[in-house]
This record gives sequence, C-alpha cells and structure tokens, in this order.
Amino acid sequence: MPQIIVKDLCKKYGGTPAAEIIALDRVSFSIDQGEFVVILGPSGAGKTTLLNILGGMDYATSGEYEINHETVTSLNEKELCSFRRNSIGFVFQFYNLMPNLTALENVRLAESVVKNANQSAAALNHVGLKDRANNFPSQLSGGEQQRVAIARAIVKDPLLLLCDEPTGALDIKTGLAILTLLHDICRQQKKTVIVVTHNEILKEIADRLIRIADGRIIENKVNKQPQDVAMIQW
Amino acid sequence: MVKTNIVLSAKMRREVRYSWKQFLAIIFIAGLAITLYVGFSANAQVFAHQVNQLYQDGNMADIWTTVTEYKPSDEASLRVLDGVSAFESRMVLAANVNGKSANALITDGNPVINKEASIDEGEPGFMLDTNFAKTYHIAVGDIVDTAFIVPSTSLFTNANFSFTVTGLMTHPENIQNGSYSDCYFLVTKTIFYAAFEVMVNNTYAEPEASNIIDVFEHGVILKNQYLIQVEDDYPVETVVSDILTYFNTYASHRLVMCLDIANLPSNNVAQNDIVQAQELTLVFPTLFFLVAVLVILTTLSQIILKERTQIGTMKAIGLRKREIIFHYMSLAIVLCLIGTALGFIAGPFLIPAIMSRKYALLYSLPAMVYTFPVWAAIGCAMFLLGLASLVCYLVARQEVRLTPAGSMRAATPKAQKEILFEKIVKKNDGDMSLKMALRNIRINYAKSLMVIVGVMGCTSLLVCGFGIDDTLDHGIEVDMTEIYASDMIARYYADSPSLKTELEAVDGVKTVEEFSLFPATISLDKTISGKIYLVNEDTAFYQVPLDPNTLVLSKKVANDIGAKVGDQITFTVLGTNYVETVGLIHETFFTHGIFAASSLFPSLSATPTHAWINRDEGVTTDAVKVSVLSSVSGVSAIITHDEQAQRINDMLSSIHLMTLNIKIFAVLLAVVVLYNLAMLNFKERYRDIATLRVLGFTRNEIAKSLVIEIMLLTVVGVFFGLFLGLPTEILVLITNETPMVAFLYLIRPISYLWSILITFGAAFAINLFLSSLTDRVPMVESLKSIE
Repeated sequence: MPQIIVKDLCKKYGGTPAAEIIALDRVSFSIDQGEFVVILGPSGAGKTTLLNILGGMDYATSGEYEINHETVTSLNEKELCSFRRNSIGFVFQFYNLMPNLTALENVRLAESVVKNANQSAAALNHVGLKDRANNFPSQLSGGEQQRVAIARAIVKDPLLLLCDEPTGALDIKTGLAILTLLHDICRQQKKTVIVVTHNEILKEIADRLIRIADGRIIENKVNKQPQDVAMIQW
Repeated sequence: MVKTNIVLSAKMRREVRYSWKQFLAIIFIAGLAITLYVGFSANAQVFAHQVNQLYQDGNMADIWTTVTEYKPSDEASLRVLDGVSAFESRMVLAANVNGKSANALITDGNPVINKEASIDEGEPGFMLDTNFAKTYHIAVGDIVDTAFIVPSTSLFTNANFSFTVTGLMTHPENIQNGSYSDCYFLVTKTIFYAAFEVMVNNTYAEPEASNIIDVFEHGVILKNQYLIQVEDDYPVETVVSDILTYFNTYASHRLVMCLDIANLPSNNVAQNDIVQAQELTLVFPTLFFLVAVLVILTTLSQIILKERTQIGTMKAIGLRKREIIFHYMSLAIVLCLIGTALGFIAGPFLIPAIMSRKYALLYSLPAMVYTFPVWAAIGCAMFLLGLASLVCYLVARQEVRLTPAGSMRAATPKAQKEILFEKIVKKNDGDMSLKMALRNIRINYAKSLMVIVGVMGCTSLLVCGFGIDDTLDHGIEVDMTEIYASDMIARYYADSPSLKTELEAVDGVKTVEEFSLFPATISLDKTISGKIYLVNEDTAFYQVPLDPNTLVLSKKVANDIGAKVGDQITFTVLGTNYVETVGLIHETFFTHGIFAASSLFPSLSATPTHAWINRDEGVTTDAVKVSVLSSVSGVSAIITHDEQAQRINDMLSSIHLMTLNIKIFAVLLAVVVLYNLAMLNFKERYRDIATLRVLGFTRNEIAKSLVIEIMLLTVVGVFFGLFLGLPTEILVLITNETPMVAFLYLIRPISYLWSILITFGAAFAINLFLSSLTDRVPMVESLKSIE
C-alpha cells in the first residue's frame, strides 16, 4: 500500500482566466514508504509548487493528496499547520535558517513544536556538526548551513522529508555530502525523502523518478537499481 | 521539552542587540511619550502635594468670616455651630511694608489656625513673608516702616509704625508669590500695641496720647475675622450657610463676607493651576503617542516584511500563527518597555524640575518631593504597550495570513503607475532620483504618513512655541500702550483726597491725570469679582475710545459673565448697585474689568485712587518716583512703566520657559521620525545602494533619491504644520490661562519662517547622516543572494 497517493492534483495561479497560470495540471502518482524520490524538471515546471502542496505549505486548486490514509487536501489551515508540525521536514535550497539563532537553537526551534521530537544535539551530531552547535549561520559555510537545515528537518522525526534543490547552492563536493546524508537518512531511518531538482545526475540515486514539465508528469518510473551517491558522476 | 517561546525570545533579544539602530526610533519615541505623560502627571501630583502640604503645615482654615466689628457674642455663637471643630479670631488689616502692599495678620499670640507653614529664619513676633523679604532685601533684625489702612478711624492715616523683623516665614494664605500679590506679615498683638504706642507718643502730646492708647487698646479695633475649621466629614457649605443665617438673623450689618476655602482667591488660583497641570498631561503626550504609533507601525511593517522568508520558514516548520504573531508583538513590547523604562526614569525627574521653576515664580511653596505617579505610569504604559501590540498584531497578521509557500516567495512588487505630479515632472525633467523618490512615497503610504505627521507635529509645535512668545509680547505691548501709557502710576492711600495739584508741583513731573479704580462685583449670566476703572472722558492716557454713556468691558470679563455689546450688566461698587449698558468690548491682556467715563459715575469719581504721571524730558523715572514718594504723603506706592512691564514678564516667565520646552520637544520629534525614515529607507535599499556603487555612482548621486524623498515629505509636513500652529498654540495657552491674563493670539511671519528653517535644519542634519551611511555599504552586498 503506498504511503503517498496523489490524484489529479491541479494548481492554478491568477484570478482572471486571461492571467491564469496552470502550475500543476492533473498530476497523479504514488510513493511507498522509505522511498528516495527525485522529482526532476526544468525551471518553471511546477516541481516546487508540487513540493509545497505535498508539504502542506500551499493549497491545491483541485485534486486529492493523501498520506498514510489522511487526505491532506481536505485539511483546513489549522490542521495543515499540525500536519506540517508533526509530519513534514523541510530542507530548502537557501537553507532558510534564522540568522539570529545559533545552529543548535535553529534545530531546537523545530524540536520545540513537536511532542516526541528527537534531541536537537543528537540531530546536530547526526549531521556532523556537534562542534559547531553554538555558531550562528553567518559563521557557517553553505554546506554546514544545509546540514543544520537537515538536522532541523529530522529532529521532528517526520513522516516525510521534503528537499527543494538541497544542493542548488552548494559546490559539487559539498552537494554530494548532503545527498549522502539524505540518502543515509532514507535508508537507515526508513524515511520517505522527496528531492526536487533540475539536476539530471540525481535520477541515478532515486528509488523513484518523477519527471515533470509544464505542470504535467511526463515520466514516473521506479529505479530498480539505484546507485549509491558515491558512485554518481556530477 | 524545549519551549518555542524561549527559542524565539533568544531570536528577539539578538535582533534588538544587533539591530538596535533600527529600533532606536521606537525606543526613543516611546520614551518621549512616556517621559511627557508620566512627567506631567508627576508634576501635577508634586504641585498638588506642595499646595496641600503648605495648607497642612499652616493648619489652614476652612472658612473666613470677616466682620466690621468684633462682638464676643458673635464668637460664642459661631463657636458652637454644628460641624465647627476649631475656631480662632484675629485682626486683618490692609497695610504696606516699606511702601509695598501687604496684609497684616494681628493675632493674640502664636496662632493655631492659619499659622505660619514654616519659620524659615528667626522666631515669631513680627514675621514677614520670606519671598517678599528676599525680593526687597529685608533681613531678620531689620526695621521696617509699616502703615495700616483702617477706614473706620483717622488714627492710622499717614501714621508710620516701625517694627523689627523677628523672623521670616512661609504662610499658607500667602501661597501666591509676594512679587505678584500683596505680602502677608504675622504680628502678635503685644508687638503691634507696642509699636502703636510708640507711634501715638511720637505723634500726639500727653495726655491725648495716653487717652488714645487707652481707648484703642480697649476696643477701637480688636478683631475683625473669625477662622473656622470644620469637622472632616461635615459639609463646609452647611457651616457657611449656618454662619450666614446667624448674621442675617442677628447682626447682618456686621458681616463683610464669609468665604470658604473653595472660594478663596489665592486658593482658587492654585487649584486652577493644579487642574492646568493635570490637563497638560493630555496636550503634548497625545501628539507623541500618535507619532509613536506611526513609528511602531512603519518600523515593524518593514521588519516583518524583511523577515518574510523567516516567517514562511517558521510556518513551514510548523509554528502556529499565534506563536509567530506573538514573537513580533513581544518584540514591539520589549522595545516599548525599554522606552517606557527610560520615560519612567526621566519623566518624574525632568518635568517637575522644569515646571517647578514656573511655580517658584508664582507661589511660595514647600520643597518639592519626588513623586512617581504609579497609576498614571501604569495606565500610560499599558496604553502604549496595548497600542504597540495592536499595531504589531495587525501588521504581523497580514503577513502570517499567507501560506508558508507564499511567504517564502519574494513579495510581489506593488503595481506602479505614474501619478499626475510624476507625469508633469517627467515632461520637464527626467531626473531618475526624483522619480524613485516619488514612487517610493507612493508605495509606502504608511511610512510617508508617519513622516508627514511627525514633521507636521514638529512644525506646528515650533510655530506654537514661537507664537506663544509673540502672543505674550503682543499682549504686553497692547496693555502697556493702551492702559499703562504713562511713565508711572501712583496709588493713593484710601480716603485720600485729590493729589493732582501736589503731584504736579513735584520736580520732574510733566503731566498728571487721576483716575479711580475700585473693586467691583460684576454680574450678568455669572457673577465675578473684578475692577472698575473710571477715567476722564478726554483722557490722554487711556487709549480706548470712551463713550460717556456706556461701559467698555475687557474681553475676558465679557466672556466670563457672558456679556456682549448692548447688554445691560449689573455691578456693585462700595456697596452700591449700578446697572449700565455695554458699549464696547475691548481686548486686553492682563488689565481686566469695566472701563467707564468718570462723568457716568460722578460720586465714585469724586475719590480718585490712582494717577497717571508723565515725567519731564531729561529726568529719570526713578528720580521722579523717589521725589513723589518723599514729597506727596498721600501716595502709598508707585509703579513705573518698566517695573510694570518687568512684573508682567516675570509673571509670564514660566510660560516662556514652557515654550522653550515645546521647541526642544518639537525638534526631537522631527529628528526621531526623520531618522526613522532615513534608517528604514537605508535598510530597504541596502542592496540597491550597493549596486549603484558598483555601477560607479557617487555618494551624492546615491544619496540624492533618499534625500529627495525626505525633503519632499518634509515640505508636505511643514505645509500642514504651519496651518496647525495656531490651533496648537490656542490649545496650549488655554490650558495655561489664568485669571490674570487673557491671551491676544498672534503669530508673526518671522515665527513661521523660524519654524520652517528649524524643521528643514533637522531634515538637513538627518540627510547629512544618511549620506554618510551610503559610503559604508559594501559593494559585495549587491552580488550576494538575498538570503
């Protein structure tokens, strides 16, 4: 039984028919628990919109999306907040850390919203930043900041880890390290990880590849033999 | 479990610590508003406390009953009236000390009721008011020449008594400073009789002298006033009513007046000032609270807008709306609390200290005691915090309403379109800086409004400050040229005959014109105490045209009794009632009353009380004054034109002091709002500035658009401020109006010019500061991602 079922999901922007932009057009797919999913597509294809709806950060115009038998598209604003709080971990392209909070405090902010969260220090330790816990984001490199963002996402022990271009702002070496970390979390903790990217290379490490263009899914396939991150050529 | 609020409070603390410059305007304006409100509240409490303390120390009476003749039977009857808790009798005489008006309080021994509030030097016996003594350089041990004015006997006419000053005191009945009202001195009957005996022995031969002394000491004048204190819970009005009933029934001819403390003129003036002090808490702080709200609104809007992505991230993590809103509300609260704390410290120290200079000129009061107005402070702090929270809630709610994805997307720039002014400017001049400034004003209405209101407040306060000075100068000028046009005014002793011939004979006197001045009770819709001036029809000194058949009323009196031209008013002078028609209402500053031609009241005019005197050229006013006082015995006092002007200026010095405060606060207000705008614009365009620097723009070119925006808004603010100046001045002066003066409102063009120059000066200073900031923007900023 799939963990995530998406059916005929649509997202339109613009109030008038003339100004209407269809970001997602009847998108349907399903994802099993513990899969490492890569959503691939060029800029403007609608992949971030899809990720936002999957994460409860935006509303779909129509269609259905359910996770663990809970229909997310029918949740009201307050329920969506609880959904994000308890079920979703986000990793953004530009990290989105609070500049006035230390690495540890950034993670603790996420820890504070969940009842049975992991320990922030342990999460930081997991991403290899035990010694940088008291550094502010401005004192960390891009890779380190992204690690903090991952720690912030996993500290809540979410059902789903959503990553929007997690390596987009990083160099190759650091990007690979971040992907390894996400891959390991997926494999070791059996977490469903969805990575949105325009980088074709990442399809090699995916358990499932969803290719999207102009708001439509043009490819949805299971990768029978996903490669290890260390094996891919950037 | 980790608490969200604790983590967010760490974020907030660091925001305040690292971005304090950005928050300075909020802290400062909150501090100013609280300083003013708490300060003026403290001032009202301190002043009220000083007045109450003076009355308490002097064991002030509740009722004054003045009679023409003392009867032990009256005293016995009044003592046993219901509600009377304490009773004392004494003699009160009009007098003068070294030629200055005074009131003599002659008591059996050391009084218990209406005693001295404090003995500032020396001991009881003959105690003189401390302020009066200091003003006229009289010390303990000095001998003073004293004359008493007793209409019922000729014994005292032209009689000089010599007293040795044994002490200096502060007396509760002399609460109004001796410089502006008659001084009080307290003398025991033993000392008074001793001086009387010396005077009689020096004036009369024996055995006449002994007979006079014998008769006098056995009852010519014993006492003429009863002082009564009423039990705490007993209504004073009831006792007053019982006293009036007693005299109406048994001895109406003996009663001169029965006054309770609420109607005591000196207390009225003080109580009036207490009310004014309380009203001042609403005048200035209201404007500052309004600007504070605008500053908080615009600053927090910018901060929240800047933290849009962070808000989106917090929502994505799962923080609830209320937690995010509370975070920003707590930021506003913390900033306002810092300002509030500063205001709590500065206000109660600063404002009462400044205002005490005003009260010291007008009143003889005990030392100031530091007072913190707890409830006013709590009230205004809650008001400010509530207001700040509300503003912050409304602003934050707007942003939090968006979906997390919406918050994390860059804000859609507001739709731009050319406005009419911009179209006109474009045709003539394609200046990019001007266009940017105009567009920025247009898309940031709230921010622009804040600056306009702030600058408007500054200009209006400056116009108000300068206008008050103009109004005071104008008022003095009007009265001094229309009523006090002479070189000096001589006051005659009571019952003195015409002294015109004697005065004209004095060396240096050029012209003399006598007039009569009497206290009067004036009635129409309301009854007030006032004066009537009776002047020759062909007067050369009173400049207002007089009609021989009608009255001229000063505007203040007309307003007080509700009279207009053509009304018939009733007034009582020396026990006689008169009804006459008002022919003219004339604006005067500090000389109020009824002005009429002598011919309209021949019997009253038969007794001149004053004279206008002009001196010969080449002779000094002081020399003529000395000559008149030494050679014309019927003259009790002389005030010169300059002394009169100085006296009024002294009396108004407190208001001059207040105008200085208004001007200072006005400039502070302008600096705060303009600084805030400058900082907001600077932060908002940080990357733009870096980009322009990379493109090779000079500091002046970059600063130009920021400067143009500030200057354009300043022009609009100044424009409206100039119109608001007069209403602000009227509002401020209404709360400062005393029974002594009626302001003749005037703002001279030069005052408007100064206000404009000072406001633009403040804007220019901020612009200089802003220009210097652009140099500090690192060019690499433009190359970094927004995040």
